[in-house]
Amino acid sequence: MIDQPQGEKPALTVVIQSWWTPAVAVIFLVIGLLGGYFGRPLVAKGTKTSEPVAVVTTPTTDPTEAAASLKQIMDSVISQTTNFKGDPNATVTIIEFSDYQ
Amino acid sequence: MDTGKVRFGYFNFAILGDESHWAAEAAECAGDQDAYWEFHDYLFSHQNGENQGAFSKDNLKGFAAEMGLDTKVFNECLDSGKYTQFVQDQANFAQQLGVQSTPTFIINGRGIIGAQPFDTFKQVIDSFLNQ
Repeated sequence: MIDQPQGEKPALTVVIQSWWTPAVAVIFLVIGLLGGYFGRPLVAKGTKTSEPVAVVTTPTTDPTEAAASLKQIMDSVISQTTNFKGDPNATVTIIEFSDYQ
Repeated sequence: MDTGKVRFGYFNFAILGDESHWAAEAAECAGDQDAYWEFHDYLFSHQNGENQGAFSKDNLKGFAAEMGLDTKVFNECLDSGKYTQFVQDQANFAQQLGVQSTPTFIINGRGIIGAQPFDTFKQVIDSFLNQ
């Protein structure tokens, strides 16, 4: 039983005896290393770019929401403002928050 | 504004003490007599330091008298504190909104903080007019 594992070790070497097996192994090893070496920055960049994308998408989804909430804010401010000058149907409403002092 | 494209509103944001509140209340009282903007302009042209008596209730009553308002009605409005709560509520509302300093302007929801040059306002206003 002890001999068998010892005998299997050379059996492994036997596989390597075929010349293209180590060659293919080395080629794939090199490809793997190169892929890892050059691929990692890409993956890292990928995660980095995905962050800005997330940040960018928040504003891009926000403008519509933001515009809606701005309008909401504006409407609530308008409803709380008692004194206006000018056409009530004007496109633009300016409200000044100020103190008389 | 004259062409009907822009309207202007004034929001009381009384934060500088009693005289700020009284002045804002007095303007609302003047508004009861359809003289809000007249009083508003009068106040801005008679600023004289903060809480040094320029907008004491007596002075405010004097302004109303000078402008030819019904002083009895005006004085009663100011003395009874008809708009005290209203002015306080407005200040609270503005604070909740995030207004921190005066003057602050909101143009269709877009904020402009401080007395910015006319061009800044023009740009924002035009951007809405051109939409």
